[in-house]
Amino acid sequence: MKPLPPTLRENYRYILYEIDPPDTSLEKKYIYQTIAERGRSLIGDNGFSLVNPSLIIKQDKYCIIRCRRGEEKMLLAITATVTSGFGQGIALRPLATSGTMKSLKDRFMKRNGRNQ
Amino acid sequence: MNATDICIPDMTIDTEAITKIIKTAQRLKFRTLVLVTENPFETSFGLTIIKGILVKSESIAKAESMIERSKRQDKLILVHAGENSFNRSISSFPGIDILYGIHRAPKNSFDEVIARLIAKKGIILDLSLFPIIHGEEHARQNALKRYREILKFQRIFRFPISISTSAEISIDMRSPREFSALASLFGLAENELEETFSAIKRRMERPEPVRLII
Repeated sequence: MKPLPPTLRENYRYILYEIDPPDTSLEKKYIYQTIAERGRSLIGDNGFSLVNPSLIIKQDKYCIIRCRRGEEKMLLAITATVTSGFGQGIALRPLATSGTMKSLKDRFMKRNGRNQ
Repeated sequence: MNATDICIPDMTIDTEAITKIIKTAQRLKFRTLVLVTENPFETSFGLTIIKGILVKSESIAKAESMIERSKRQDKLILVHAGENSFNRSISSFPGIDILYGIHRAPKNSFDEVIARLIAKKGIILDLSLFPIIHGEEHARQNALKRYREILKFQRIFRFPISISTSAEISIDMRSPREFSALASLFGLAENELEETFSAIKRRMERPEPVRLII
């Protein structure tokens, strides 16, 4: 399908998460698979497609997940049900929500810089 | 928001793991934490920690004697919900603070008689998020269905409810924002959530009933 013009594109919200425990060695695609599995189990395929979550960045113990604007609460509910990923016990702790990647990345960099 | 959670660490976990639970609660911005454990723990983390005791018995007589013993220890008394008759009898027994684990109780274990009783006595009904977070298919569906029914009673009889993760380890804990998201699945509104968070504090501040000594 042809890409939609900017005015018709959906608005997104971005949520910054901290992965607990911090030494989790799960790859990005495995974290997404876990979220997708738990999300489909919680709200079904139709609900999941409405939330439309997507794992944008995973760096060290942080990750940013995108969802459709207005569905942040549902994304939080989905990620709250993530208890393990491929045999490892994990929890995704939401830290901040933003409407743009830039502001969230800035916060993400600030946090990373402060921790290093 | 005075966010409160109830954690029931496994009997086998050590003091270090309990400290981790307390630190996680502080990091997640909880103000009050109810810890149901016999193990010793540090309390200097800047949040109010309330010690609790969980009474679990199928027999009324045994449960009542356990409650009598627990009353002397100055702890928050949680009683594991059971069958309908058990819940009715135990709710009228003095000294109980929280009716816990209603999601595990058999079908028809909660009705308007119990709702009226706990509303009169100010007993808190705890709705655990554990089956929603960890449960699969039927367990989760049943918990959500039951909590929706309980909320209908709650809106009529106005008995206090609390929401907890019933976390056994620190990874099981969730933030107040996640509480709100998960509670919205069974229809709990934002303002109602604030009330549930303050229910335990209000219960603790309640004056002791006057006792007649003859």
